[in-house]
Amino acid sequence: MITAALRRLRKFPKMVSGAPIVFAIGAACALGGCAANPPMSRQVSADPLLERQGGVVLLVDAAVQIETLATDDYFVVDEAKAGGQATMTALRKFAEENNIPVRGEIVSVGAARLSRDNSQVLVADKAGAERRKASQPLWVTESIANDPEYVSALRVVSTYAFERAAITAAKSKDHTKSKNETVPQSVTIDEFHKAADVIKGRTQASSVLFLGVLGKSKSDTSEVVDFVTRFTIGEAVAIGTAGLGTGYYLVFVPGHLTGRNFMTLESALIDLQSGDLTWSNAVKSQEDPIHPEHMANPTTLDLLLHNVMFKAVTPQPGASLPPEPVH
Amino acid sequence: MKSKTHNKSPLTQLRSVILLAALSIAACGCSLDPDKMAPDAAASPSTWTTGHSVRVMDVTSGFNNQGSFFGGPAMIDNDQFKTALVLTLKKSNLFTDVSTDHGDVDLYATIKSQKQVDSMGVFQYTAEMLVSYKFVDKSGKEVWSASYESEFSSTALAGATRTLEAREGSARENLTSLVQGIREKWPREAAAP
Repeated sequence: MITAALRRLRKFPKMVSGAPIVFAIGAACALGGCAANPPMSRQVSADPLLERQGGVVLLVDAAVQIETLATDDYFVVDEAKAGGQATMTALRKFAEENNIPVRGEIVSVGAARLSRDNSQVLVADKAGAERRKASQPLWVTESIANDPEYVSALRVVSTYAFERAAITAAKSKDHTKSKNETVPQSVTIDEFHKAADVIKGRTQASSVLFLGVLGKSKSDTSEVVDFVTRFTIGEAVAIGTAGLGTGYYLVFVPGHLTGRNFMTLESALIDLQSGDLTWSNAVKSQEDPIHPEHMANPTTLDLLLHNVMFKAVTPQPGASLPPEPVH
Repeated sequence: MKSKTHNKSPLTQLRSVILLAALSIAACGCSLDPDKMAPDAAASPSTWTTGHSVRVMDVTSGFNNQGSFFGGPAMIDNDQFKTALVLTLKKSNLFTDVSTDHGDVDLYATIKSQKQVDSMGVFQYTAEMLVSYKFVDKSGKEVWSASYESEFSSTALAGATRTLEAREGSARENLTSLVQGIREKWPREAAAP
């Protein structure tokens, strides 16, 4: 058996010309580089702001919009609430694993502004249920629901954080945009500072870690007809239905895919002592936000939060150990 | 029978060769080896020790550490990493004794994540690993802790070998940093008399 196989191997050059294969390997090496990246290892730690004695307030704001073909798109409460709560569970685990003191947890649905003029949005308790117009937020953790000042502050902080995270992410990818480009400001810096003060007063925390999810889910009917729609109406439909009720998400999160399920997850770290937003990030996902496990996907959240949870402390060369210290 | 062999087309023969090559790769004993995760550099014995004996506790998985799944890339499991951790600490001579059932201090290690990092080149696999280490004394007080993120790339031609080399290498780099970190940053007042 082995001899036969060896005999076949000897015939291999006759069966196929070796030149193209060698050329292909050579080309791959030349294009991609055969030399491996040097090993790397570094110490990492959570952002010092998260480790402050005062602790952090975890704030998750989720909004899920159902896209329909026959009627207007609408937001759903129950599914967004379930997703937000699952995301909070994941975020809490993330914080606990990194010894970050958590002082409070708030989950809200549609707290960040979803329309430019702050008008009511079309909403249903759950997908397929009766729709109505409602003011934001669409739902908020019961413990603060009867504190209008706190809820208002939450809305301001969520909107500010969501906007800034989206803008930062978009600018880092689009080098053609000027740094000084005018950005939409639904919330002024003064409004933000006042809101941060309210949260600080209520929680005594040092910082807020905000995680916002804005997702679009296609109803079954829409998914089926989509194939036809794209060919007949094309881009006009895509642009017309992409806005989630507002313009700036479309403008400042470039490249998000319309006509499919998608989520934009954004995170921001707010220093409650200075009132500054010190870090932000955004990622996009094509998973269906209607499912809580998709919203709380560990890989997506790790991608979103990695740079704030695991910041490099000191770069270290790999492989070789330094000389021992003198004691 | 003989004539049958002679009648095989070049394409059939090529298929046999490819099958043989695939089998030889599959039969190469491709599994992650904790011995290869323990850094050689740690073998250079340390003259300084922490003065403590250490009990290495079971390694746990963190928030985003997903294990291997059928058909997916090989991932280091908790037991493999624990074996490599014990081996590394024994080689380092930083502790008077290294054991899995007794010690002055307990070492808790958590594999936070294992990923493939985007890398240039068709024949390159870069593995990343993030591990947190925490030493706790008998009163439950934290003595020393650190988290390390490490990367290692392999350009081995066989895909399975490439993945294994990269994974083992990322663990090796991580454990190297652990030893280095203990040597440099272990609190001197915590050193046993």
